[in-house]
Parts: sequence; structure tokens; C-alpha cells
Amino acid sequence: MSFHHGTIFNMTDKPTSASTVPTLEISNVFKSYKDGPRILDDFSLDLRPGCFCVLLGSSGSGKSTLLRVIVELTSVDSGDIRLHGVRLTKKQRRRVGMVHQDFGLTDRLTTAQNVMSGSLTALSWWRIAFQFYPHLIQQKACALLSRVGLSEDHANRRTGQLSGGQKQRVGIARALMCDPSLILADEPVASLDPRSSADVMDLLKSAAQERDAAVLCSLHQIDLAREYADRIIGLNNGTIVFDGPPAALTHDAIRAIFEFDETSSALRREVA
Amino acid sequence: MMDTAHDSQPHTWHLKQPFGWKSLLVLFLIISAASISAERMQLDRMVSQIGDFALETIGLRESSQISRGMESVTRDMFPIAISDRRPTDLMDRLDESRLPFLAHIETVEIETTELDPDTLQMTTKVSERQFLVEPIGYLLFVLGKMVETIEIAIWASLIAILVSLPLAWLCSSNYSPHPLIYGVARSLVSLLRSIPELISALFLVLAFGFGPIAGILALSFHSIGFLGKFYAEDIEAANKSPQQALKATGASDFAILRIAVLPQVLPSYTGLSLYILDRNIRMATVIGLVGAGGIGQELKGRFDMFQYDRVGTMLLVIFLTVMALDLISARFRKRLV
Repeated sequence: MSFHHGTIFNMTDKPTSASTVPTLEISNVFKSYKDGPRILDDFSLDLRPGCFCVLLGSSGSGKSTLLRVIVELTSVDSGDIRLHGVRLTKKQRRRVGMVHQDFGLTDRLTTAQNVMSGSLTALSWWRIAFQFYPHLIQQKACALLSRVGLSEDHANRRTGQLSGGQKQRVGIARALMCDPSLILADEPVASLDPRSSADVMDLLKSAAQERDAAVLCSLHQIDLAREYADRIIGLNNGTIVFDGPPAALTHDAIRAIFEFDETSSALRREVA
Repeated sequence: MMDTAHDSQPHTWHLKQPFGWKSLLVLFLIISAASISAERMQLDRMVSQIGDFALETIGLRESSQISRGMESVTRDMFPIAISDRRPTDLMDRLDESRLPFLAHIETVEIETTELDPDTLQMTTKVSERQFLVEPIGYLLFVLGKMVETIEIAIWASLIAILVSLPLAWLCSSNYSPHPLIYGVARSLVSLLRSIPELISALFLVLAFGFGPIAGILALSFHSIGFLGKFYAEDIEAANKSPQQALKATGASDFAILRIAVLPQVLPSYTGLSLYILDRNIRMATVIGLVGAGGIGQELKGRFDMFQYDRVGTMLLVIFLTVMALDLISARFRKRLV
């Protein structure tokens, strides 16, 4: 699970002035799985602070891999990823929050404990061993749970007892624990009903705006992308086939992203 | 990615059948092997002996080998021994003013007839012999031994659990720090599991002498082999999603295991640990047979001396204890899981 340093990352790692530097810079990233197709093919992307960017694409288009690569859940074959102009390291990763499709919560822990687990990197081993979180972290978790609309009662309940929409709120609160400047969201509403989906997307957008954090959110729902995105990036087979504001997302662009033919009538209706 | 269903007509498709000629062949081989093995294991004799015994029970036969073999045991085992009666002159120190619980001293006159070497005539002498009688003495002694047996089992289980928790980390393929450490840890666990308690107890008695130490170690070695394997498999099978979420924040392996894995596997760990405790209590009664402490040591001694009434007492105590612990552990499991 490590980047091939040495050969690829030979540029200097000095941060430049904050105003001009993008939050996230991805340049020339290649990734393919063993004996498989190329998932990311010379992928490059800049993300400005505060931008809500949606990655739109069908299953297998490389959306999830791109997000996983940023937090090193998957290693790249080659390429460079920088946060605020600095090459992404384990320490840098503390400023990246991530929201997962299947929530990524431990059901048998309480909701508050799940939220506080977003700040484990800052704690010593014995605090982790006894789940003895410092007072400041506890207060922060309470504030964030309240921010995402959950109560003290929810905080002390086991997460397994919450509904899907509530679980994703907890997931967002955990992602906010590290004061992120970049929030990654991997299909955050894929398993939610339309009402909860809208709530979660609203929350994600407003929470990011409050912090001026950039959001990179993968979606496959065109309507949600149109509604929430400042910028939409269409992915097909690991390359960018569309990049622009929601207003520029034309029928042709959608055809290029989802590659559908005349038989897929459901999608044709959605486009129309 | 269009499917290939259009290539052929549905009426030409072949669906997999649950049984075929291969299943029949396997069944035939199994039956052949079983019949050869049954011959070697004298299963025919077993059936005829049990049949004889059954016929005798309903009165169609005079006797059977089983009843002849068990006759002395069943005759002597009941009533079971509750009290204890020992001659005082064989006891080193007996303070008559401070007798054990419920005990009293019984004096018995004994007539002995012997040849007087001077007169060459048979003379009868009357001597007094004192016995210490404890009405529930033997039962108390057996209960004490049973408590010792349970203590052996608890310590063995505790040691096994404490060693297995970190060992499971090294034994789980997804968290072991190095493939070499993984290999060594896995082999160690397999080795410990493959040696039966009774065998390792034989050697540990040589190393540590008679008594509970050998028993505790023998039981904990085997338990580590069992728990290490199953704890590790639980770690490997745990839901990956929370683990990935914490990994994405840059958390260490230890933090992921503690926060995302341990809460998931805890119900299963509790079940496994209670099973091991249960098993160790049963096994602790057995390993005493080779001198590793507990009630088994007493059981073996009395069995060898044909004192079946005392054996009966012990069997009853063991049976009741195991049943009681079964009830307790079932309750405990319900509350914890």
C-alpha cells in the first residue's frame, strides 16, 4: 500500500501561497488492476477550495477507484496527488474526510464513539485501547452530531439501531471530525431513499460550505448531480469525457458518460 | 457488456443437477470403505453384545457379557460414599478437642484370637480401637477437589484468552505484520491444537511434578491452539467496510483492530471463550488421571482400588457441576451477546 516514491515524486514539496493553490491536484495518475482493464488512464484534475464537484459515471467507470486512490486505500501505478500543493502523506491525510457508500460504521459502537473514531490518528495507543477520548474530542463529537441533526439519545445508542439516513449523517459527522479541507464522498446516497438522499446531500453541501471545504462526490444519479454540483466531471473508462457546470450537461454529454444505446429506455426517459 | 443469452435457444440450455453419476460413485466408495472399517472395528460384535444385553433386560436371556462386566461396579457404586471413617491411630496429629466439621470419635472393641507362644494355647484378647467418623466428610472432600478442578479450568482459560488475543492478530492474514510472522504464528497454533491435553499433561507432569500446574498448562496450551485459530478467523471474516473507513483516515492497524474489528467479533469471542471454559472444566476432570491435579487424580486412585462407591460420589458431583455450569454459561452468554 505505498506509492512508488523515488522515481515519480521528484518535485519539490514546498507549499505555495494559499489563494492560488488548488485544494486537490491530481496529475497523470495511472491505475490498473492485475490482468485487468486500466481503471484510471492518465487522469488529471484540479479542485478549487469550496467547490462542490460531482464525479458522474456508471459502475466501473473509475469513480470509486479515484476516491480510494486519494486516501491510499488503493495505490496508484504512477502519478502525483497533492493537497494544498503538498504531496499527500499520512499526516496530510488527516485533513481529508471521507463519506462511504455503506457508511463504514461499526454497528456495535455507540454513535458518538463512531464519530470520535474520525480522530484516531491524534490519539495515543492507550487512549485508543480503552476508548478514552479527550474531553475536547467528546465535545466536538457532540457538536457535530447536533449539527447533523441527531440528539443526545442518538449519541448514546448503538449505531446499528439507526436508520440508513441517520447512519449516513453519522458518517458525515465522522468525516467532519478532522476539520477537513477536502471531503470525499463515495456514492453517499446509493443505499438511501429519495427523501433521505436529498437530506444527506443538503447536509453534505452546507457542511462543506461552512468550512470552505472542497467536495469530491461520486454519484450515478444525474438529477442529484445537476441539483447539487458546482462542477460536474463525467467519467467513462477512467478518462474525463465531460468537465463543466451543471448547465453545460447536455444530452450528448450524458450519452458520452453513460454510453447507452437505444435499448435503454429508462435512461432515455431520464435524459429527456 | 451484453449477456450471451441470445446465442442459444432457451430449450437447449442445460441446468446443473444436484446429483449425478459422480455422486453415486462417491456414495459407493464411502459405503465400501465403511464396511471394511466396520469389520476391523468389530462392529458386528458390538451389535451382538448390545442385543444380548437388551434380551437379558427384558428377560429373554439368562446373562450377558455386558451385565457380567458391569456387575461389580454397579453393585458397589450404590449407595455412594458420603461419610468417611478412619482409624485414629493411623493419623499423625488429631486434636480431640478440635475435631473437623460434624465429626465424632467412635470407639470399637475388637476381639482378636492368637496363639500364645509360651503356653501354646489360643487366647482371645479384647482391644479398643478408635475411629474418626465424619458423616459428610467424603462428600466435602470431593467437593473440595471439584473446586480445585474448576480453578484449574478457569486459570487455564484465562491464560489462553490473554495469550490468544495478541496471537490472533499475528495469525490473521490481513493484519499480520509480516508473512513470516504469520507463518510461524499459524504453525505454532496448529501445533498446540494438535497435541491432546492428556498427552501434553503426561510430559508436563514430568517437568513440573504432580499437581495443578501441569494441568493448568496442559489445558491452556490446547486452548490457545483452539482460540488462536478461531479468533484469527473471526478477524479475517469481519465486515471490511468500517475497517476501510478508519484506514482512510490514516489510523494505525492497532486502532483499526480495536475500534472497527473488536466490537464486531466480541459476541463471537465471548461464545468461543465460554465454550473453552466449559470444555476445560470437563477436560480438567480427565487430566487428573495422569496426575495433573483436580478430581481426576482422586478418581483414578479410587477406581484402581475398586472403591466404586467413592467413584460414584465423584461421578455424581462431576455430572451436577457440569450441568450447573452449563446453565450459568448459557445465561451469561445471553446477557453479553
